[in-house]
Amino acid sequence: MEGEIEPVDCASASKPPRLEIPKVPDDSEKPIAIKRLKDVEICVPIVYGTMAFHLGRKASESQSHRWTVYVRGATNEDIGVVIKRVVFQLHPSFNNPTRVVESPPFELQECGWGEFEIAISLFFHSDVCDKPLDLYHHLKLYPEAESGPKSTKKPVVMESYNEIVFPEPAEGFFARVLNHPAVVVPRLPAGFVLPTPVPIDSVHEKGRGDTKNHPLSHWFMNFSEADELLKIASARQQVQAHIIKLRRELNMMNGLPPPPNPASGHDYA
Amino acid sequence: MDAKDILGIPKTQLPTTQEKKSRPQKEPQRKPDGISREVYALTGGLAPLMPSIDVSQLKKRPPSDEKVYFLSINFLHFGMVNDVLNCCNLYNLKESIPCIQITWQWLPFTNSARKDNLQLYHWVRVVNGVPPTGDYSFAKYNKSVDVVKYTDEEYEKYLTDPMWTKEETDQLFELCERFDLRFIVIADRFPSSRTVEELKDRYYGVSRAILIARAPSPTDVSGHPLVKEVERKRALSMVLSQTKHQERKDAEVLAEAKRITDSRMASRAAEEPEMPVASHVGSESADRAVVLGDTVSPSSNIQLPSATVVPSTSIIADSASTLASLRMLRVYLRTYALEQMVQAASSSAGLRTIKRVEQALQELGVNLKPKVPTKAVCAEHLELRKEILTLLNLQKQLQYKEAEGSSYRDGSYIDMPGTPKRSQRAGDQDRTFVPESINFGGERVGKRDQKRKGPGRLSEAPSSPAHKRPRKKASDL
Repeated sequence: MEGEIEPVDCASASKPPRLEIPKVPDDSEKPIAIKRLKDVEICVPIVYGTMAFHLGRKASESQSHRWTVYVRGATNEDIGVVIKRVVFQLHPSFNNPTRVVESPPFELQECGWGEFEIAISLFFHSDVCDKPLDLYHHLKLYPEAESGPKSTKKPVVMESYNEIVFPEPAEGFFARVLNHPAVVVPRLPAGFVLPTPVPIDSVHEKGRGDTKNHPLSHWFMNFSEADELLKIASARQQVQAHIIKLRRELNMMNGLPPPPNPASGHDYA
Repeated sequence: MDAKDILGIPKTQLPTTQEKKSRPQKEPQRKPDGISREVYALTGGLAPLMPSIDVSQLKKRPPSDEKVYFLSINFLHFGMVNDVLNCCNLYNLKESIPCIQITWQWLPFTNSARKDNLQLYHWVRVVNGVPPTGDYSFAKYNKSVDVVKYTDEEYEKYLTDPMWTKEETDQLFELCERFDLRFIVIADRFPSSRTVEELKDRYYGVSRAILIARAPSPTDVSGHPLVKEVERKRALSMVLSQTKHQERKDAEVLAEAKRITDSRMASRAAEEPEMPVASHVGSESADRAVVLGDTVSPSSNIQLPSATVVPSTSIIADSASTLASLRMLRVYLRTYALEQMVQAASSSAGLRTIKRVEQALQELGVNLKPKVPTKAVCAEHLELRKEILTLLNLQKQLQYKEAEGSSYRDGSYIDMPGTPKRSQRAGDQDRTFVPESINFGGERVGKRDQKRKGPGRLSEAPSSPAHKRPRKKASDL
């Protein structure tokens, strides 16, 4: 991968020259210490889910829907900057149920008739994280409501919003994605020195990794942080007001005299 | 009438030949009736039923195979194979080897368990003229207890006790040795009247003191039951008698220590090369727990046994440790982080309380799991949950206060039929107290209402027991 300077032949002239990263000769003995940024969090908002179209007249018993499972950036930016590849684990009844997608857009299209849980494993670039992250999504083919004739034009969409959090990112990773639109990076204090970013082995130089102009993009769901925040904030306000009230009452009660109050006798009449 | 008649075997089948050699050849040709083929094969040849044994013959000559199967064949028929084999062994009828001579002799023997060289006699099975060797077979059962022996010096130094004279202690130990720590017997024989408990106490106390005194270093004996048990029980009773305040303090100290070790681990991990941490997180937390136990005990001066569960931790401590453990992960999902924090925040709450929190959230129109879990949303969500918990606690406090007040008042009215004791109603615990509308207009939280089923309703519209006013339904947000 990244490590050696390759001689530039005519044959491989199309390959961009790579920077050499100095490596300790004996890999087995002294591994490189990676500097990490403490108290800094890199966050990648993503949306993952499925979209299923009924095949209408072309539908058969075993293939009633054509569906797509995908992972995209929440703002439709290219998450290939962080994610190297995605592995979709389908139902065993599919041929080769382990499907690997090596470049963004990370999606997979299939035909089938059944709903099942798809396991999605995200593999990151080597300077990001060497552990995969697992997501699970239930493939939905049939809409909630039994709306008469199944439309082949309108898909059944099921998406989930989530954020991938890297709690102590490596310096190199940070430097590399610092200004990328797909990644949420906090502002570092002024004067903070980062190493020169090293571009990673990008396999997908050919196409674009973002999903802004994806053919299905107009079906993507909208996730509005503001709505949810508002709702929670108003709920909090109510609860807080109530708490104040109860506290006041409790204080009042503590001031009540312990001996029986004859005035309350009428309650037992 | 003998067994042969029962079996219906002609008596003449008794083998009486003296020649051993002709025997083996003769056997395979004989096919006896009344004996099954398998038995025939089992015995390796003809097994005549019911040979009568001549005792004098036994003594004179080595027995041959056919002899002395006795009732063993009967046993075979009835499936008692073991008995057959025993009989065969007894009469040494193995594998058609006729040359072993067994005799039984009345011989003297010694018992290593005896100290007095008493010589007794018993029957001994002699094989080919060689008597058996070895100690008396029951000598190995003569076990005794290792009773501690102390010198006078040691007594003066470590073992003096106001309640016991040296003489008594010596007597006690002598009896212990003699009677193998059978304290009931010892108590009976003890010259001055002492209870069994006193005797035991003194014995074990002396043993412990001697053990500790003789040990080259304290650590050698710290694992010994005499020493360890006392310590363990003391620690346990201390934990049991801890006040709530102390519990909380301990918990906080533990949490603090955990945080420190976590941050130490984190900084160490940062210096080390990147390794897959997630797989190690499990073992790390286990290690941390062990390390924690060690580091905390000296400071708090209590050696908590590792099995003790730390009593209810404060919510802050839990959250802090959850945050620390999240930081240990190289990557995680925001929803996962929220789940962990929610769990930490509700760690002190019971299942019912958690359900009530969720119901409250629902009625407030908030998703139990945020649909757009951004950092801000998750933080707000967590805070909301905590506030709801606080609210529920306050409401419970209010209830109890009410209960105290009303039960006090109830007590002064002795004969009040038909007035159920509101204060003792546990049913209200099931109701969700959801503060939805704030328009209660200064109603005092009075007697609780009767238990109602259905979705949680407002708590703040109490009615006196006499009337059952319908509660104000929550207004929708």
